[in-house]
Amino acid sequence: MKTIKLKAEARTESGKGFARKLREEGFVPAVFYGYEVESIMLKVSSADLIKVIEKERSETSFIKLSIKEGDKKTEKISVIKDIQIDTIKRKPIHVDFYEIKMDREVTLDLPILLIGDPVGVEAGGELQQVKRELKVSGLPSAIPEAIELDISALEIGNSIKVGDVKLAEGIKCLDTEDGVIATVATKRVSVLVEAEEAEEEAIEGEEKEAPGEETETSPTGDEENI
Amino acid sequence: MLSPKRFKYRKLQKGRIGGTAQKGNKIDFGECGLQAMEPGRITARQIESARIAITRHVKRGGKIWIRIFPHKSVTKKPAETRMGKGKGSPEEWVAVVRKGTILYEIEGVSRDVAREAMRLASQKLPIATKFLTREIFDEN
Repeated sequence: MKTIKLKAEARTESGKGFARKLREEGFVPAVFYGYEVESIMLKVSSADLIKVIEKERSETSFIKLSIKEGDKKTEKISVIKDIQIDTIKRKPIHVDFYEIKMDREVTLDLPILLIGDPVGVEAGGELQQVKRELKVSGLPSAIPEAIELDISALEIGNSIKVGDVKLAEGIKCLDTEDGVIATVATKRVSVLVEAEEAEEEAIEGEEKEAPGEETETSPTGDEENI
Repeated sequence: MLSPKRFKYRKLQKGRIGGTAQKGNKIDFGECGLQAMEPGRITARQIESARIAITRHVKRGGKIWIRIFPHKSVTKKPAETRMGKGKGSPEEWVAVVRKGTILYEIEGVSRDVAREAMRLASQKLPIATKFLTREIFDEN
């Protein structure tokens, strides 16, 4: 797994007022913690963080944090354990960095990358990816950046499950083996589309009638059910 | 059209729509989605109309998820009726949508097709919406 560098600065103040001020100044409040490690409150540059996450896809990469604490500078290897995002503005609100120790097992959610075009898709099927991440545990040195799955042999009706994934030695999968990752399903037939069009025409017809109506029917149109 | 199969009370209070969506605000199933940028009520007819707009544009292939459901009944008094004499009769079903809610999700089509399908769907809805992808900080 690759390591990306990120600058961080220790902060002493906390609370929503201070956090808001930080965000206005272009920083993101963050916290660093780990096993038998005292947590440190941090602030990181919002632009740097977005760059690291978007360009480097660092959600599953190790991050070498260079923490500036007064005159002291320390370097820690970590992963992004959690990231809170403003769903409207699409900006980070807060980040959790979790310290990685090379001799201690770590649990991570690794992205699943599907490789190849399934045979079933060429035969008219539709590829559906049900699971996008896999929870794995192992020593940091053994964990890959992503799990690559070859799906080219999948036929219509076939699926690839968590149990089918072959992981490197020393890595355990924590998800249930029965979980479906991807499946090739049959495409919906055109009869359905025609039915939908007929349905839409019916709705449009109803809408035209609606303004002049003075009925007292229930929304379901079935008073008995009420 | 979508409507509840059974319900406890047929007439509900109006309520207020405050804050942002704390759940249903992430793309969980598909690749792209349509996010509400303002609060509002979306009727069952509008949900269905937008869904048809999406399926019609996508034609065959792709998978669509409707992430909202009209749980709330809205009553209306008949025209030219004097005030009083109790609450009106249930007229339609609406989904109460907060800012940030994901309304539709789509998968199995190209980004451009999905974007156009969502644009067509948004024209059927009474609120401002935004096209969204799975990328965390996607600015579109």
